[in-house]
Amino acid sequence: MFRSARFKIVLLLLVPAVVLVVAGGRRLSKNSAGRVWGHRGVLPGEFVRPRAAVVIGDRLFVVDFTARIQSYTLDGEHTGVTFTTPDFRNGRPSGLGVDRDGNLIVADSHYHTVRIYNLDGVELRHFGGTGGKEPGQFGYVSDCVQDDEGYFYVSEFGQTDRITKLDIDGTFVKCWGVNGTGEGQFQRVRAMAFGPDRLLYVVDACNHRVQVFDREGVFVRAFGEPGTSIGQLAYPYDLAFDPAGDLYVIERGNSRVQKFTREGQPLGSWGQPGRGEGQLADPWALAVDGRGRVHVIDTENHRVQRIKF
Amino acid sequence: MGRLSEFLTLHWFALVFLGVAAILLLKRWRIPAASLALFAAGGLSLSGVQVDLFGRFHLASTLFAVALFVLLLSLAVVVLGRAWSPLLAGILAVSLLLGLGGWCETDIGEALAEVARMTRSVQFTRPWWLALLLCVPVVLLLARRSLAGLGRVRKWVTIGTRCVIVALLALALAEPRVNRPSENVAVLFVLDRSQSVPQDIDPAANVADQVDRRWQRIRGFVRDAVLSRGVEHSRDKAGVVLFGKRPKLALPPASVRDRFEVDDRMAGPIDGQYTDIAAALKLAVASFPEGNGKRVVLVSDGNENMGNAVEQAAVAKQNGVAIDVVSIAPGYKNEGEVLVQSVEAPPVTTTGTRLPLRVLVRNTSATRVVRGILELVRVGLSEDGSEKVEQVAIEADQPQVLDAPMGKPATIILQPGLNSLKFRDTPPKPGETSFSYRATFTPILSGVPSANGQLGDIVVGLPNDRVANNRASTAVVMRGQRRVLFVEEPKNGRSEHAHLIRTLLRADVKVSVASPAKLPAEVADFALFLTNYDCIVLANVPAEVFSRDQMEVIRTSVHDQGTGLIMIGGPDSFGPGGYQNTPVEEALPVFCEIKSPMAAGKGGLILIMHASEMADGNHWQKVIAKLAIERLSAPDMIGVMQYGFGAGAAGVSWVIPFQDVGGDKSRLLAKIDRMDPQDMLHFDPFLTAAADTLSNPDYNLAVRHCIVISDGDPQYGPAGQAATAKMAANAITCTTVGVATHGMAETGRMKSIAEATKDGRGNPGSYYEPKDPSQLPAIYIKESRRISQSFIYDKAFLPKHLIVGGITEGVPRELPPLRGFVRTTYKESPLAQFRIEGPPIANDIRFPILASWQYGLGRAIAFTSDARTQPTANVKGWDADWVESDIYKKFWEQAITWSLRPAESGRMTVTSEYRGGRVRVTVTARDERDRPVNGLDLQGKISLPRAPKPGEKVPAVEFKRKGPGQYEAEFAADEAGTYFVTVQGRQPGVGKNTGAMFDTARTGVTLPYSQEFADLDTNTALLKQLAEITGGRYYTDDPDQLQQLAKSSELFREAPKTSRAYQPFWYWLVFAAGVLLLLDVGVRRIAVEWLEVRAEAARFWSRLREKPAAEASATLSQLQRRKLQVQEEIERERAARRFETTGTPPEPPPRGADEIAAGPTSPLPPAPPLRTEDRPKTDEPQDMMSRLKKARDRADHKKDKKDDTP
Repeated sequence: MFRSARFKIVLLLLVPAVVLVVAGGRRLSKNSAGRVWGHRGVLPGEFVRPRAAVVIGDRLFVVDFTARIQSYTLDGEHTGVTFTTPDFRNGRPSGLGVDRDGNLIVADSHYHTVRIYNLDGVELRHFGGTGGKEPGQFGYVSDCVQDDEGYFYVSEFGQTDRITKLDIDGTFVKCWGVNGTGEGQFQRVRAMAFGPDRLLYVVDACNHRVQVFDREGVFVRAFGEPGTSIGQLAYPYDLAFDPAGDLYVIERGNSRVQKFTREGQPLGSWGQPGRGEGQLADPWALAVDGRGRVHVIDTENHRVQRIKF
Repeated sequence: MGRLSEFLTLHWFALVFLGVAAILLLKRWRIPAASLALFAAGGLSLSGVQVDLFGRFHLASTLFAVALFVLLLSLAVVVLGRAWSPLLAGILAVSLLLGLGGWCETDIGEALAEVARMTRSVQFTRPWWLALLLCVPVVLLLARRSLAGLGRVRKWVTIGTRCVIVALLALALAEPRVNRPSENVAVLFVLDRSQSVPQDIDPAANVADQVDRRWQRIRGFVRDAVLSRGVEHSRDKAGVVLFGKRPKLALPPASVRDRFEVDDRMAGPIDGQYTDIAAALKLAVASFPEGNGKRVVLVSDGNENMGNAVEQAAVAKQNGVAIDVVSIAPGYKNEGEVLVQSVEAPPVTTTGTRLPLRVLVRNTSATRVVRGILELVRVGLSEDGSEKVEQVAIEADQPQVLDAPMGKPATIILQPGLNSLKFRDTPPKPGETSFSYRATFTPILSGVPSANGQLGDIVVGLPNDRVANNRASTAVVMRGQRRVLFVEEPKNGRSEHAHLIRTLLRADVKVSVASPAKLPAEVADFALFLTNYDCIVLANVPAEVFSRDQMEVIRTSVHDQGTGLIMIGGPDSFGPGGYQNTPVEEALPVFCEIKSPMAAGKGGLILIMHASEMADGNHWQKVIAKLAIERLSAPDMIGVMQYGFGAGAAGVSWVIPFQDVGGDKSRLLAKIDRMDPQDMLHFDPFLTAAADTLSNPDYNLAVRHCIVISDGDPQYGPAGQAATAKMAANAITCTTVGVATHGMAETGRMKSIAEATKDGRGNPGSYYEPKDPSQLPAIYIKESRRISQSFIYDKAFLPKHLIVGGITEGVPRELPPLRGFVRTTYKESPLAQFRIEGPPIANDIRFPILASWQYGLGRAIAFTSDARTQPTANVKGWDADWVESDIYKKFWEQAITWSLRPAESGRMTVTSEYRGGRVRVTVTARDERDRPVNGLDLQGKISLPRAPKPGEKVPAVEFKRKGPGQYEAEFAADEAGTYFVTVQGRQPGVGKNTGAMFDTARTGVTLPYSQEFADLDTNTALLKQLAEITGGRYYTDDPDQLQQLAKSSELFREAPKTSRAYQPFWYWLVFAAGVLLLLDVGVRRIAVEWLEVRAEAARFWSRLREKPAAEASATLSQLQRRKLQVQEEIERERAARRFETTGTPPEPPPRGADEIAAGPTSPLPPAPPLRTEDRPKTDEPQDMMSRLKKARDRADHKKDKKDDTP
């Protein structure tokens, strides 16, 4: 039977299939969820204490303590894009975001400015630039997000702890929040994200909680309390939603990633303090890609750990 | 030809395989021959071939992987579906072999070549053990006989194994070592960034976009050289060192592939005022990774003015480093330059005459004259340290002078070459202080003089002129006036020591009182200022008011210039003043630390550390923490906190848990070294922990203090405010230090923390915002001083007068009581004297009230009680009873006089001059009748223009007699600034420093600017020499040559072989011998029957495919036939032998055995019909058994018989 024509056809089909499987396997092995990459250095592609990150399409942008913003594939290969904000002697950018056109938003914290770059690192526009407590002025900008109607929301800390809403041209609309521990009060907003419920989720780092607002700044709910157990938070520093609508929060104090439902029900946690794989050293940020994989910025280990859980 | 040899080196292994295959084919071993040939063919055809298929793959490895996968697949098919295709198997075998060949043929070849190369480098440590190799033939002979029964193959395998074992052991005993030569080259580009490198600026460009094209070219050259070094050098490493005065490793050596940009910013600021090629080479040599060829590419103009590059090149050569040099701008000569070469003034003035002064200005152009303004000023320092500047008039009747207005600088014209310009100045009145002359030239225009005296080709200013060398200065040191500098800090605007100062003035001591804040801060100014005084008194002044450099200047002026030093006690002096481990302490006859633990007034200090983003911030934090620990005394308590990840959710991590400082601080200091504070984000948990710890009553703390160092960025919330309130309630102060804060918000936050806390008297903590990290230590010393309470003894006591005489000459042995003093530790030294003693602790720990010693050329006194009593203002200090007694005036007058610098009588004069990197000092000694004095014992000391680093050696001055009453010495000087030289002459005595003092004289010599600005052309000779010493090559920075050089990858050519340590590997030989021994035993004990193995495999295969066993294969029946033949032979032999045996008939087999024999047999194929003579075979085992049994019976029987015999 093996000398039959049928067998030869099978063989002919089999060989390309095998080639496909082998080649695809290679790709698959690269695309599996877990991956640890990056090391300390100042050459392009390397970083020193990465501090914020965002996923835009199939690119991961990371900013580090040398103020370099670099672009990587989701597997950690440097795409060749490395740039910095115009000046960083006062301090480095500490937040990255994406606008609704898919451009990169950089929170140039110590220059009280929000800058928008295209994916090749060319600055398209910026707004802010005046430090101060008055409406329309900014303290240290920690993050900026844009909603689907085009409004920008800018969080700040330093002299003031508040969130400012700007229209699409960067004109002041309103702001809310003061320093404090009550509802709608903040102690260092580090990051913001829009949930699938169109509400604004905010990590209130030194109050160890996540606060939720509607787009007009009306307090909706808060969850999290100081502690190390599941459901408790210690210095939450960044947050992001996955495509399924679950929320991931990175905690500097507990060196871990916690997963929550939108309502704040804990769904599990990953990570512990340390230097090994699966361990985190003072992690500052995370980003979630379109496949629900979490890219954890492991700051003091100068690397990125990609996980899925 | 080259391609052929390249092909051969790459594929020699495949060719060897092809050869072997041909031989095998001749021997008709077709399958092995075909395998080898396929493998070789794979290597020849497929290695390195890539295909584009969802990305790039190596064809060979892909083929191999696919074939392997298909093989596994088809085996699975066999197991599951019993189907098998020999054709497919054949294809797979061919693919596997081809793929394998292509994949690893070249690698194996390279590896073997490498092994061969290494083998050549093998050296034996004890070669005589190789004599053991002679045993190999013996083994061969012996084994041939004894192993004859093993069969041919096994015999030779065994013999071979044994020979190899013996050979290996012999080799191991000879201790072979292998030297693996390095294949890769590491190239370090050492780039000169000093200011003597001439810039190449496009004159057409705007000022704003002017770039140094030379530097651009060098950067481009380095980048191209590294990036286009070729594939064969891809594993070579490249790095960059930038240097000026100090070298910095900008890019550590690495195998860079895609980007190699050199940037000045990489290494931080480089001091271009000096060129130290030697230091750069030293750093480069130290930075090379081990196991590489090492090459330095030095890009420089060769103008070194520090260090000795030639010496360092020799060291580099010893380390196997070759130096290629790229000479920058060879033959360059700066012609558009004006240098003020020197200001010449008589070194020590005698009063009354007008001083002749000369300024030498060099115009380096050969043809052009330069018009400009020359200003000479006299800069004096008034007593409060401010500058007094006065114009000096030029002599107007010189040809160069165009215009000399009164009281204003003159306009002059400089001819090509050296111009000497005379000035005249009336020296200051006697009693005035030392001063310096400073000359500055400002060019206006330059041009070429024509025959009629008009200037042609006029250019405004002087392009290419370097401003740094357009000024020069010289110091004039006045002769000693027996003056005393009394340093004290006025408290509430009033002098604390007014009574003492009045007393000294009444005794005709020239006392100048200065507050430390008004002392000149610059090292050079302070040094010149101190030359005006013959004794420095530090009266209850804390250490932090001086910078470390200022303290170093005080120390050197005592040690090297003979100035006296007196420290008077008080709560801010000695230990409580923070002088531990300072240069001032070094000059004092006491240590400011007390080594014994005492329980009085225990202080508690907590330091809170935040990662600092200031330059070198973390370094300074460690410095500060260590200073704080050093300043504390044994009974005090300390704790250090930092933000660290993993230290609980709040990140509060105790680097040093709150504990006693104790006697041995090294343990605590070591912990500080390991400190690694990170970016704190919240003050609250730290403040809470500090407040809780310090307010804990168990510690019984008298003073409680907390210091926070931060950029002010962390959050300060309600919990933190509660903590500071708790501190205020518990008399705990918190001082905050804002380091590199981002702005007002942070400053406000840190201030509010400090101000929220209160000590027992209601004083808040302090806030500091140092702009420069070097200010941090002073702050910390002051702050940690708040804690140190245990130094001060403040009860009345009777001091014990131990030595009467010298300072206390005429002071009675019975001294009036003192009311307090500062505890210090006396320095046990033959030069020191313990004159007055205070109350001891437990009789064995003694504390000095008065101690004195000789320190270098100067004398120092420590008086640990105070002098703050003021009878008129009714202020009573510790010395209240002394003030009232009649010893007071006598004691202080004698103390000051004793410590004063020896008188400068003018019998000895010192002149000095600087030439070619060396200062020559000439001393002339004449007695009162102007006769030369010979045979003096001269001791000379130098103060450097800057404070020496700890452990730095100041050049020694050795005087030699040159003529009657003339002595000369020389020392090397390479730093800009004033060197002070002090010479003490003694009459010849019995030993060193024992003769009577003849005279003291001082001088200053000024190097106006670094040699860097005096070099006008490049020093290619030095560069050539460096290349020659190390066997490197010499290039110039001609753009075309650089480009060619970068493209040629010549810099990455093979570097000199490094002599790496030889690696021993005898243990591997012993290991191999052990393994072979096992093999030897195995080969002799276990006989593998290849036919049987084949049969078993065949049976397995047929089982897999579930074919009836009968069809199994020819092999199996062949095997069985063979087995039968053997059995027949054995039977025949036995039958033949049976007649020789005892003849005992075989016993019937035991039942059990019979049963086994008769039982169902294994699923063996039915045997062919048995022949009759085979019958006994089945009985064989029983036969054996019965024979064994019989033998045993016989033995028992015999034994019984034996036993029976009596």
